[in-house]
Amino acid sequence: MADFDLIIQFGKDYSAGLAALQNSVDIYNVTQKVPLQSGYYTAATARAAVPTAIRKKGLIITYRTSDAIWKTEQFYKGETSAWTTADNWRSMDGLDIISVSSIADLYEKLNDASLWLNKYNLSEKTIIRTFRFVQWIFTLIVVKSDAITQYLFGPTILNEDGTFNDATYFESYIIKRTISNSGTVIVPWHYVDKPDFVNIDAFKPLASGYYTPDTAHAALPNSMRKQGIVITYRTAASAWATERYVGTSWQPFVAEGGGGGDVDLSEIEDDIEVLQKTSFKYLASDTNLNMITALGAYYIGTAEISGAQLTGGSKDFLFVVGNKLLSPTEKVNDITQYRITNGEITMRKHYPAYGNIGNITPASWDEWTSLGAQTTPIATMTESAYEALEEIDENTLYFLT
Amino acid sequence: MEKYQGEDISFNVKFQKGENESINSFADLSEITIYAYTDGCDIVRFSYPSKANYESLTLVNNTTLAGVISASKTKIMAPGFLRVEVRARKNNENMVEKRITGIVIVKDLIKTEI
Repeated sequence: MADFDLIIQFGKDYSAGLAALQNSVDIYNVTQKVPLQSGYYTAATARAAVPTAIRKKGLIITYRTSDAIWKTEQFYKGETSAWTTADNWRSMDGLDIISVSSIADLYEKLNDASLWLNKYNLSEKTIIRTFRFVQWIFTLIVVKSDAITQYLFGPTILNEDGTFNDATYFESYIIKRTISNSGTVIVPWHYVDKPDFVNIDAFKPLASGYYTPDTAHAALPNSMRKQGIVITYRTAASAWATERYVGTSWQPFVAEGGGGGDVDLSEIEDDIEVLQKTSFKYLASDTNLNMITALGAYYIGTAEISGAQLTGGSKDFLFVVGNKLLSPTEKVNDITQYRITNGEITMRKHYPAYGNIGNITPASWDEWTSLGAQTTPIATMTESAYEALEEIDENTLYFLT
Repeated sequence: MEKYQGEDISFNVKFQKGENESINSFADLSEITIYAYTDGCDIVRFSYPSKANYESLTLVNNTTLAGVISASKTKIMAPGFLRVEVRARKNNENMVEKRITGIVIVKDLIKTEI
């Protein structure tokens, strides 16, 4: 006779199911669930703190980065095995404002891609970041095409509903940069100047038909208008009109001393040619570059060419960019070679290097990458704008597209 | 029922099939573990089949297991209600049952040598 008998009728143990239920969350408060003994989370530590059982595609985490600041981000791409890869995360903070303390600080934050790049699903035009500097509000806008993405940055003029239109962003955005959709910087941050000459048909192509004077004038945003600007537009299958804005009206742009309706673009062409000639240094193919001193833009070939020869045929250009902000004592060099062949642009990058890496060796080049057809010729930045920019970052090369 | 510290406590665990339960007997289970304890004492562990560091259980028949919490264990158990937790595993599924046995272990004022 036993001291006691137990009659057992097994029920199911739901502990595993409860654990699974607890882990089946779409939003995870890292600060509350995995509290720190002291201090605050960073993006990297917060992501790493998420328990493996919780990790899944699409999970949104929120964490506190300082006393009154919370960050929210989503694991939006890649596999959970690459959980800590920064590129797999995008911010869900929306239009939060990043405070900057100086122009140098601003540029550092703009160049810190982790702050904004690849954090959003980029639509054709998207406001992706707003920065506050003293009393100014700046906004970063992305304009994306098949091959390249342009980032426009400047004082903000937004509509009441938060949208913006072409006029305001042309007027507002004082600097921009262009990158390929694979993330390669094609044109670093540079000032955008109002153009002296605009081809209206290229600027705003019509779906059908031709421009009239009124529609062509209207197509040019107010912000681009300035005294002396010249526009040209197609008025018929084989007819173009060219006008110059003088005073408060548009006037036919004709060659001085007669010539009927002939267009005189010699003044502008001369300007472009001078800029191109003086801004691209000639570089023989077999030249060795000292990476410390080689910052600049080069045309590579066997002989120097004039500005007029920059278009057509196959041409190679080399851009050596140094960013002093990234390293106060050593320049960080970024070397990109562009090959333009009948309007098709391919590029390849040299591995970035710190300090003097000596010669460019063929083994150090990446594969060529096609950037597709570019309709806008490359011209260099005006000297005045370049000088202004030097005050901000004297070792960065800028040029206009 | 009261049992003094230092006394053997024998027990039977009888299986009863539940509704919608696919388990018909202990034979359908891959492992059975029984924990016996009062508040504040080490747990006495039993296992069927036998394994190291566990007390043995005897399969009386397909629906009955028998075991003994030995005197050497009960003498160091804290006084209080004796509770038993029966855990069973079938494939990857865990099942658990907890019971109060009705046994109360009381302090033995006369210490016997065992």
